Amino acid sequence: MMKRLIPSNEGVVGIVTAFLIVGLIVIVFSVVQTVYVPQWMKENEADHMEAIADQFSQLKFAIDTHSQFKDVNNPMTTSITLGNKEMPVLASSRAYGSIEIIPEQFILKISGALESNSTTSLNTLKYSSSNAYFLDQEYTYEAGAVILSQYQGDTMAIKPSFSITKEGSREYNISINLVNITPVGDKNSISGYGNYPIKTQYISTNEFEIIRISDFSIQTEFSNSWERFLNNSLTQVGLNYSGIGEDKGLHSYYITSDANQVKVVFFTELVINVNIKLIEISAQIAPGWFT
Amino acid sequence: MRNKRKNVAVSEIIGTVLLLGITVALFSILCVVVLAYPHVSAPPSVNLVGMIDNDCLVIEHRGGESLSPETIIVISNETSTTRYILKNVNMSDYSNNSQWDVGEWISIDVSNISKADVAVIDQITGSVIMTGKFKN
Repeated sequence: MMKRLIPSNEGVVGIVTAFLIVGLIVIVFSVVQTVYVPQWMKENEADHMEAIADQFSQLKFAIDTHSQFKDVNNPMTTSITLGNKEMPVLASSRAYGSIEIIPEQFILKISGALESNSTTSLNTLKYSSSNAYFLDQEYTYEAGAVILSQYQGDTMAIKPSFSITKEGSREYNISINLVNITPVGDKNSISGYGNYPIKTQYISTNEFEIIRISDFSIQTEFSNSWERFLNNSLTQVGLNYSGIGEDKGLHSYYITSDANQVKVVFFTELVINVNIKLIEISAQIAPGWFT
Repeated sequence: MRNKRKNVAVSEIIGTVLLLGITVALFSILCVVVLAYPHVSAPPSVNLVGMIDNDCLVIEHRGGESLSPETIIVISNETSTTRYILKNVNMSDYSNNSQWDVGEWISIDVSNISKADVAVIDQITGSVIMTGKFKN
């Protein structure tokens, strides 16, 4: 026996309402997911980069304090937040980051000195972000300076301890505090997204003077930042800049620069003495216990 | 034969009509909001720092997204307002791409201005990305 299908409109309103409600929810989620989530995440990651800038300021403050008090028995701990978490419920990507101590990334060469030339190599401490929405940035602690770099260029966020004083009509003394970061154990890098402590401790200071130098050069990844910094520092004490790579005779110094090096050449009538404090600081950037 | 008024299922019908009405209304509002949404990207996240150096207003890009050559710099005081376009001002374009990138700075002569407000406006999003006051 066959059943007959009888047309009926019962329940049509309920079905239409259900479809509309489901559609409404889908549209809301789609708009939030495609328009708002990327903007929120971009702002989160930009805020995180600002937080990294603050944390590098604290790191520099800790290292400067070590340099000042020279106390080998009092380590200090600051922290770095490597990344940030994704948003709950909504689909978004987590941002990661890494810190590493890079050996011999900064080399200061002083030549043309009266007695002996000098070459000083320093390790640097670098944070690199792996953002999903905001552009990637790197913060590097290098020779006492904090440098912000991103794809398009770099800038010196915090200046190093570098001073020039005029002693006579033609004599200038340059004082530089160079900080060398030494890793503790074999742990040179760490990656992740959490909050990680950096334990720093004073080791030693070696002070020496080089008199009557003719030029010095810096090998660094951030030659633009150092060139601008050196140029500003030298002109502020009245030294005359002759232009990039130009020797005009009447001026005090000139600068040559390429992607990995900055060189400052002083003219012969000047007496330039350099006083260097090489400060050794140990940094433990990975969890663990070392003696 | 008398017609009897039946009130059976009236509340269900009213409930369904109300539910349908609310849903249609919400759906309509959402459609209007979504369709009217201006698809303009968020203002660039950028850190600019301004200072006075040798009678010049110097603004340095201290990190964040690059700014377009069409970025506007407005300097205003009680008597006048001057509008500059980034591509027409003195800029240290180290990366040679006409954009205002990290580490690069612009310099505007303000020797004839003693005190003014400065604003940097991103023309793409129409948003103010920096404001400040300076005294010369």
